[in-house]
Amino acid sequence: MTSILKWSQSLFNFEVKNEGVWFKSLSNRGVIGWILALFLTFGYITLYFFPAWLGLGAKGMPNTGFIAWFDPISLFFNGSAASQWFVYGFLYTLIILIMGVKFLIKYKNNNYQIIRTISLMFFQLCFAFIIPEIMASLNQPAMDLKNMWPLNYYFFFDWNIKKLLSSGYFGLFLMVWGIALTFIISPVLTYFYGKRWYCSWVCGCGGLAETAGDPFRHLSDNSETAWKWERRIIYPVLFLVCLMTLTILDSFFRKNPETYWITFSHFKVIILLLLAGIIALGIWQKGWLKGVSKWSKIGFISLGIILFVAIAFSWSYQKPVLLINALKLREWYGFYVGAIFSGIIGVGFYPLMGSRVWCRFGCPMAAILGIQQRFFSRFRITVNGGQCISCGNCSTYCEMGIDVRAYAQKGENIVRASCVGCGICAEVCPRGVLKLENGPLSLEDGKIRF
Amino acid sequence: MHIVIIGNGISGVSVAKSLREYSDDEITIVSSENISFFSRPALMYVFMGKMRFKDILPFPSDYWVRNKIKQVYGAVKEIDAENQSIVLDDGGVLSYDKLVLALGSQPKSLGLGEFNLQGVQGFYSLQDLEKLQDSTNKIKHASIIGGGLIGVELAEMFVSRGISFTFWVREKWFGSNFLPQEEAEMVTNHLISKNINIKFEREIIGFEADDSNKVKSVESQSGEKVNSDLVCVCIGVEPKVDWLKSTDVQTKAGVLVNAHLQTNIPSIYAVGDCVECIDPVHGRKSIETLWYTGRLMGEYLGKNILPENSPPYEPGIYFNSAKFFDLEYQIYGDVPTSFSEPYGTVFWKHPTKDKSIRLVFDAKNDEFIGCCVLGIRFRQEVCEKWIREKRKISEVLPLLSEANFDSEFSTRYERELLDIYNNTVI
Repeated sequence: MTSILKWSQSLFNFEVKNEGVWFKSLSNRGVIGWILALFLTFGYITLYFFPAWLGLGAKGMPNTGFIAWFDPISLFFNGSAASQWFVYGFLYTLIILIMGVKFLIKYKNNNYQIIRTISLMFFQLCFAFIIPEIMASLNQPAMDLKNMWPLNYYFFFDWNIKKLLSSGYFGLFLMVWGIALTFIISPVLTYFYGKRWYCSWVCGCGGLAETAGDPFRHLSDNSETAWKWERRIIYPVLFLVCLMTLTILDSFFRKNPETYWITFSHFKVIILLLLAGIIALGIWQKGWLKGVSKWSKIGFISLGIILFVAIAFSWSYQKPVLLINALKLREWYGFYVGAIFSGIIGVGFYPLMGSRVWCRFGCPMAAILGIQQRFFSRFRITVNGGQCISCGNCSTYCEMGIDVRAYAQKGENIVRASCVGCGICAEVCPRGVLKLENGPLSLEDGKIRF
Repeated sequence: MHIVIIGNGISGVSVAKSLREYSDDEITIVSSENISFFSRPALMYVFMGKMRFKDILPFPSDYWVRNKIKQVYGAVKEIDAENQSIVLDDGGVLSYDKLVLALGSQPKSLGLGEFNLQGVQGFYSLQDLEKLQDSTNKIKHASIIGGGLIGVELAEMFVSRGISFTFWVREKWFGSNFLPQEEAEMVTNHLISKNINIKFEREIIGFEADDSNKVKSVESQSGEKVNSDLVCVCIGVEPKVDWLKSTDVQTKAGVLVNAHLQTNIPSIYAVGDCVECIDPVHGRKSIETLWYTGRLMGEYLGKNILPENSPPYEPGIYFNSAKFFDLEYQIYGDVPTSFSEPYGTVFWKHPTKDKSIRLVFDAKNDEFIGCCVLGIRFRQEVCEKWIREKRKISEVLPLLSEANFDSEFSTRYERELLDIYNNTVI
């Protein structure tokens, strides 16, 4: 009886800060952790590929079983029976809210954590769940207003563009908003606050990672090898999403060369100028890329030039850009990256590889924001003089697997592309050594060495 | 040139790291505790399950190979100063051109022969942690003796693992020998709020053991006897230099060194906890068993062991930090435990939360000389700058927000401190 009492007490004693996490089967990749990982993985597979097993009614047929439980809620929000995506969105939001409350109690003494978590809960509940449901119920195109390209990889797909442009002023507004979000709002906010404004304040993937994923954050590998693989995977994914978007837009404009006020020729000029601009930046940058090795710089520039020439050639011969089959690439990306990587591995592997597997190794949005954060942002983590005792709490509890201690013990500020600014390193530091700050442009800060 | 360092704690490792920045000479570190450097203050977190042992190793395993720092696992038996060599317990001999002693310290004894009993230990080394982890599941009740930093760490460790224990403190308040009265009271109240069994004004005068020499109970001067099958004695540490008495290296309480951290034998140096400065810098103790002191000495020696005419060791402005359960503590500069002439002080304490700020100044000329904070973080660079520049207290107070290092959106209290100062001055 007393042991049951003790157990139930410990269940609600969130104040305990990471004590015993390496002793518990759930959080040390023990049996319970593996069972949860398998459960989540198979849950995602069923949801994505075999929704009938969950009771999704075939065309026109009513739902049964698990999915049918959610029909009343779905009817309330949008007037139709639940789809598997409604169930997914509903449960996703519910978990963020419940685990968010747990997180709020655990970090109740830290205002940064409180405000950040409320923001995550708010954006998930309103922007990702309620507002799109309202849009849908008003027969308007439903869109998560905070989900921007390239995380939202279908924003520039032909069907999405057509849908938005055929929905009057509201659709046009969504189109303009989506483009502004990626190309204006996000760079400005990232300049002032770092990528955290998105990754750990707004994003839905971040929302789940920060709340439901919090008990697993120490499972992120913080070795240099892991960092290497991170760069080897995330930047190719970014490249792929750009390539895919380019080919889709190319085939879209090929079919409608003069339909819109941006014509096919406009599009070609924009793309080539953009590419030339990126190449020029790589060649003539002053100091921004000073931490990048010579060979990666040369590789980056030559890849850019090859692409530029190849794209220009394929267009001058009236061929699809780079001769790529846009539909095949889109299918491939949607299946392997969209479903398997971001969904099944991204969440299913929480209890095995930590809460940010997708954000760290896969998310193209995080890649873009990271590049900006590393080279053109005011955000950094400041190290307080020589107070570090090299204990390793910061590195252990960094969900992005950054070896924070390696910088802190040298007294160097931390400017890393992957840092999502969750602030947990500063919170778990027993000597008050770390602080998230927006200072002067971080690369001009004399304390940073690479 | 071959530089041999005995001890791979923060002091010895800092020597090796800093030396490698300046030279390509051969470096060897010898240790009998663990083959690689680990963070000693983090041992407690391994016990609490916050980290695994491998997480408290501050450098990746290939670091030592990459930097050509040779690691030798073994205990040093003898120093042969004449032939410039050391003898290891497995009979191996290492010859050196320069030898650095980074021997560390060891738990002080109450002088009651208690360390001869089974179940009585200090909490200092990796071996101490292993012993503690071994006995954890077998014991009924533990005793922690000594109201210092290690004592409170042990209390936190035992609470996290649900071990019942009694915490014996000699003083009336926890930390009253290194904290000002108000801070000591705050820390004491914080400990009491954790519902731990803490007994103040108790001195341990005896132990009882069973037939197999295993500790059974402890007895205090007030006559209480508490059954304890595990006793942790943590009344402080002392330089671990006993074994040097048979060598030519001069020792007193610690290894005696001059202003260049050199011992009486010119090719032998010492750093860190084991050091006793013959002529310490003004205002500093001759023995400072602190992580930060060890690191600063190590960094100094690594840079200055080879060049001729190197400058003397300069410890810089004092700083330290600690954590008592959830309560963080930082100190910069000179903060005495009581404030008689010539010290002046401004102190603010949060009415309900565990937060306080204290600034200390020279009452004669109003110069800012130190500060300490509980539950609030201050910026080391800013505090040091103000102290070094001998800023006036009236000048520092309005600028105090520059020194704040709390996380964003934290409530700020600099205004309250300024009001207190203005009210007391007028």
